Amino acid sequence: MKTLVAASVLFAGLALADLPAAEQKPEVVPEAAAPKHPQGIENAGAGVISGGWEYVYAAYTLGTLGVLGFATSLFFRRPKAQPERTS
Amino acid sequence: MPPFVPLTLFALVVAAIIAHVAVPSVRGWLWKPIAGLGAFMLVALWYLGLVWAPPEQFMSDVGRILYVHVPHVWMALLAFTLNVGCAVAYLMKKSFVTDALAESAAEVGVYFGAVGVTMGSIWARPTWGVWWDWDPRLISTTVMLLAYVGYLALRSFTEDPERRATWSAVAAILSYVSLPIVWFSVRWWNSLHQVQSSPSTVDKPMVQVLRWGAITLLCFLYVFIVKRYQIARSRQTAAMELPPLEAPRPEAA
Repeated sequence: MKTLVAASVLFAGLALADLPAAEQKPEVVPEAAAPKHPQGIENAGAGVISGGWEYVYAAYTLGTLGVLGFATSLFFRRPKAQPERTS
Repeated sequence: MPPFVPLTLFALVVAAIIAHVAVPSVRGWLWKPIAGLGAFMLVALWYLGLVWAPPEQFMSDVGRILYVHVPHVWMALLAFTLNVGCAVAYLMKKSFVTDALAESAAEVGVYFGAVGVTMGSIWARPTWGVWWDWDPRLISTTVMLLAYVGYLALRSFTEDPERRATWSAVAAILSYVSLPIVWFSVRWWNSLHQVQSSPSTVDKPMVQVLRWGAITLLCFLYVFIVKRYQIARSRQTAAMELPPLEAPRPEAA
């Protein structure tokens, strides 16, 4: 009996082996949740950072303000002109 | 750009600083065109870094931060190198000129280093997911910056200009030990921070923008050091003109 069941399963498996696999639906990314990517999100590989412009602007602003701030501090600390000595 | 060009540019900046110190006629005007060039290049860096350069393969637009972060840290390392050079020069031949130059380079180096580390933190948030990580590169950079803050603090501990110059020259040499540790930390230890890139592994437009940023900050490095040097020299002169401290009067018997 066991042999018959095993043989049936084997034949059934062989019969199903050449059937095409069930079609897998492509993952749909909702429009609102899809992050912006310059080449399109469908072309973005795994692990690619998307967005982050606020960090970029913050860094460039910090650099510019840093230069202006340090220059200003140097200006206010500049040596005062020495008064003419009369004697 | 041939590999010797960046070093040549740094040598030119050092030569311009020496010219500023040694040639009085240069002192009044040379910093002005260089400051103007730096300002123009800084404005252009915004366009080149934010628009012209392509997004990085994995970091995408966040990679644009590197065009300002990396040059800032480079400038800090160059300023600290100038500082140790002046410190060694002072110990070999006592001169308040090299002492003032060392002080200027250290302060400018701390400025560039602090801004560079802050930019690195801004970059780390979207890239690593954290503002800060106790990583060998970040720890060694922090220790280096703190060492130079300590160097600047040490200078205010004593009134005697000669003693201050000697002590701080020794402190400058000790602080400089941290610099190769910072540079090689990403190779010596397992670091989250990436190792140094080479132009052969980076896309050409990215290398060009990175160099543009470096030359921009090199202009400001020169201007900041020479203007800070004038302040340091003025303070030295004021300290020299102070009357000597009165000796304690012997008590009447």
